[in-house]
Amino acid sequence: MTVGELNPLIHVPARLRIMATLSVLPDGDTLLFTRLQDMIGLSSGNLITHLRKLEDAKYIHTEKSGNGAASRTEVVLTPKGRQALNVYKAALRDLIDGL
Amino acid sequence: MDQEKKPPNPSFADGDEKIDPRIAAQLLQETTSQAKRQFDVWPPYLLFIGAVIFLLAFGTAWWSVRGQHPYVGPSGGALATRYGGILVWIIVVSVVLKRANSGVGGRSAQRRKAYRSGLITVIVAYSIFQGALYHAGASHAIVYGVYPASVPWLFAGTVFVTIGAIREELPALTLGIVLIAIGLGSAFAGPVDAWLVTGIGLAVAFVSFATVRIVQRRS
Repeated sequence: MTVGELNPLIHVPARLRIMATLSVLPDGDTLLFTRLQDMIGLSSGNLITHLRKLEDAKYIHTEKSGNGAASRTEVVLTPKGRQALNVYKAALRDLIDGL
Repeated sequence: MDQEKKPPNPSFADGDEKIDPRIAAQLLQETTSQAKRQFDVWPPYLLFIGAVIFLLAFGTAWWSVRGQHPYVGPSGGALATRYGGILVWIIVVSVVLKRANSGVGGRSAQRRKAYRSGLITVIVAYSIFQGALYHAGASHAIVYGVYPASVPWLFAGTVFVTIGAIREELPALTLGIVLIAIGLGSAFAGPVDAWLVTGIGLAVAFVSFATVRIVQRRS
């Protein structure tokens, strides 16, 4: 196992923090974009960029409701995303054990 | 989507920079712990506050009924302390729940509604039943002693056991069993000591639960 074999979509500080934060919630629970932003401490532009990459991989799902100032975006970790994070964690453990 | 926020650490800003596996592991562990703390609806300090409030609320009631012959029930001051304490507890819990659950939706939100409905039903049923006991001519020892000190916990315990069993949630199931045990223990203690048994029982339960939470956080 090498660093290069770690899932490149997750092995980035911002996305790792997003995935770790969402994984703490029980299956099926959603988190508002604004709360996630508060917890992660990223600018909204950065957060949107990272969320888009994770959504393209189907690791998360976002749902927007309402319009204008009243709009709200909910983010949820998909089963595929949870599984990918678990695989990443196991790979990370193996890698560290081997160092 | 929302106003701009400055990231607390520039290294977490944008870009796809790779990191050392050990740093990644540390980041993962820290983020997970931080998120667990922020989503925690039963932080240990809340449980310690609960232990103090319930010990004071029920201890005051016990203090006011000691040596009553015949038994008439807690004094007005003791009742005010008890209901005031419970009100403070409800407010503190509401604030913590609101903060922890802010922005969280989905299944947990539905679960919270089920618990809330169950507990409101318990409070209403408990009050109506107390009135029925009084109406039926039950003694003060029952209406103002054994019943208010023990039965709410049997009711609340039943709600937690039922929901915990249906949803296979061990903490809720355990809490329900503990509440039922406290209710039964205080019922057997009689109208005077029921207050003390409930106060001590709840305080011990809260402190034990808080200790378990602290150990879980550290492990």
